[in-house]
Amino acid sequence: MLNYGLSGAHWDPFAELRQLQSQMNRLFEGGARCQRQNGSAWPPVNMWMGDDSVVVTAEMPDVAQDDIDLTVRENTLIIAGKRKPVTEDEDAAWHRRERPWGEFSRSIRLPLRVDPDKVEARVSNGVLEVEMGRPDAERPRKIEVKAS
Amino acid sequence: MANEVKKTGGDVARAETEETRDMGPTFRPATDIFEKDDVVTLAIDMPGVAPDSVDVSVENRSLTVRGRIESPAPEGYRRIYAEYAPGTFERAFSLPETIDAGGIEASHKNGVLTLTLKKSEAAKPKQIKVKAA
Repeated sequence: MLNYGLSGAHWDPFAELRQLQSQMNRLFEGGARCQRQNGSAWPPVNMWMGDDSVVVTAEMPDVAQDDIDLTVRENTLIIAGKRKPVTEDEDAAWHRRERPWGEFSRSIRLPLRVDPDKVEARVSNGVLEVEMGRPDAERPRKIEVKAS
Repeated sequence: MANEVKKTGGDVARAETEETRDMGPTFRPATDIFEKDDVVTLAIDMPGVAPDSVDVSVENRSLTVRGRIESPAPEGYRRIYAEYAPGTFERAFSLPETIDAGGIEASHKNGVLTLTLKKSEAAKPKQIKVKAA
């Protein structure tokens, strides 16, 4: 599972080293299920923070809407799915094959707990956008001070 | 974009640099190329690029594809974590003589640019009939 700190204060330099190590391992494994575009987890994601909600965007070109499987639980979002190869024709002669294909799954730790009923997802030009809201009970509330 | 840059005499190279910077970083898109039955297909990953901002050009047997990534911040949100950045996808391919440069077809769907290249008639294998003398 990948954990993402909220700010620079939470940045863990060793996390990057561990990531690098796993990338190297993957590099030498050979015959990996997916070739990574840039050596990191697929799909690459960005995270955006709002007042009471969080948005995760992911670059996942060529993944059909029906092939995306989203799961939200407390403060974790799982993006899973399958990316079909551009051709399954065995007679085709490959000149270059750089695009990853196959099954993928990525677990993303969110900076807040989210309400599964407040999740909206859309896809546009191969970019997935998942908007998730904080449960009402956990919203910060103003407390009125009564005169005694 | 380029209009914002004042072009002075002999300073064209500089102006181009400014333009490049204006477009953000340039990324090399991941590409699949395969061939079947005299047709070469290229599938180029360009997530975040709208179909109308894809540019495909052929010059001197060099095929260039370019697409500007449009990824505006969701309204009312600020970015707290990033693994990909906005910019421009760009990649050039050299076309072999056997490809008919005039017969290239392009389509863009779900962030993938697909190009279909056909071999020129002259490059296709031909059967030559042997006539009886």
